[in-house]
Amino acid sequence: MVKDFEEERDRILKIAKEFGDKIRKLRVDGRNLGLREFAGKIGLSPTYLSKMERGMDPPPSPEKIMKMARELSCDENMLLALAKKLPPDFKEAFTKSKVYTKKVPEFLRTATEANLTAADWDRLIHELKRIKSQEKK
Amino acid sequence: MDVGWRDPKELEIEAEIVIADYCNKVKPIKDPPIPIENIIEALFGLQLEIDELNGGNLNRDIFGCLYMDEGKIVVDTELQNQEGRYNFTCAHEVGHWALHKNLYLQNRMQIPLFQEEKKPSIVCRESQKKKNIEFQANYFASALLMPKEMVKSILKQRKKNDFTETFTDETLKFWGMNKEEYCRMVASIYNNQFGVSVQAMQIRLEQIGYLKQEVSRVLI
Repeated sequence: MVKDFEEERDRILKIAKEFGDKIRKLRVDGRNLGLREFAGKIGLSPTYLSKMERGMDPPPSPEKIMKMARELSCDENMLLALAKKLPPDFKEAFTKSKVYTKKVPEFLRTATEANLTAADWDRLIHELKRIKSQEKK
Repeated sequence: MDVGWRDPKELEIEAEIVIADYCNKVKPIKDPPIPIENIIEALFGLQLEIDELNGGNLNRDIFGCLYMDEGKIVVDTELQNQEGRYNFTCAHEVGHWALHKNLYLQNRMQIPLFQEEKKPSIVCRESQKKKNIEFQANYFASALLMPKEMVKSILKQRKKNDFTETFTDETLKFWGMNKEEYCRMVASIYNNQFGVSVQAMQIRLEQIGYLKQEVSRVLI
């Protein structure tokens, strides 16, 4: 039990630290934005941002992370993945209807188990679009 | 750490050097406010943090501290939404870094090599502002955030308005204010532009030689 708890705590701290380091690097080296200045732009408390950058507080909500990505001119999916968070539209897809709630996870699991390459994904996406456009006709 | 007296003119120059360095190495500064956070992080490469420094003590005496060995400045969380005081504290700690780092390193031998918990090299308290070391950091902060030439040129731009930076008894009578009220009013025209408090602006204007009371020239 104690070991599980410790492992879980270390895992969370590691995510927080990696995410915090990245944000600080992008903010200072990349954009030369001040701590308080950046917090103001995102709508976060400067104290929280300071602690988060040191990995003492967890990453913020996906919406705030996406706002950060825009301010720091970096890929929002990359930042979300670093924080181990899902893009907000994933939740929408999952809860869109009963069919989606059942099928979206099934689709993702199948795709993950299949170990798709980038080219496979492109083909799959292309195929989806093709099916959809044929239906319209 | 005990430091001797230093001429404010020297402190003024030290602050000007930092600004010139920032302009050369990072980005030119054309107008105020002075980007103090960027000076800390981008120019000096120091770590800037905001944290609880008073441990729940209601008498919030500590406003900032500096870790010389780690190169880290910490500002008290209470100041996070007070732009003027926050900026001034940042600049104050930069003052300690720029002015007192060498002295600290010389004296460092006395500090035990292994400490259980890393302690700040300098803890800045409201109640100790009269000490030489704190006076110097404050004067430096003032000169850094409100560079003399920048203040002068902004005052010149504003010359059209009715307030004058030197005043007489007649001026005070006209406005129906006492000296203190008048100085505060003039300072409050400029303080936001520099991202400092009215009080800091007032002190700076007085340092530069504005906000000076002159004898009325009205003939009796």
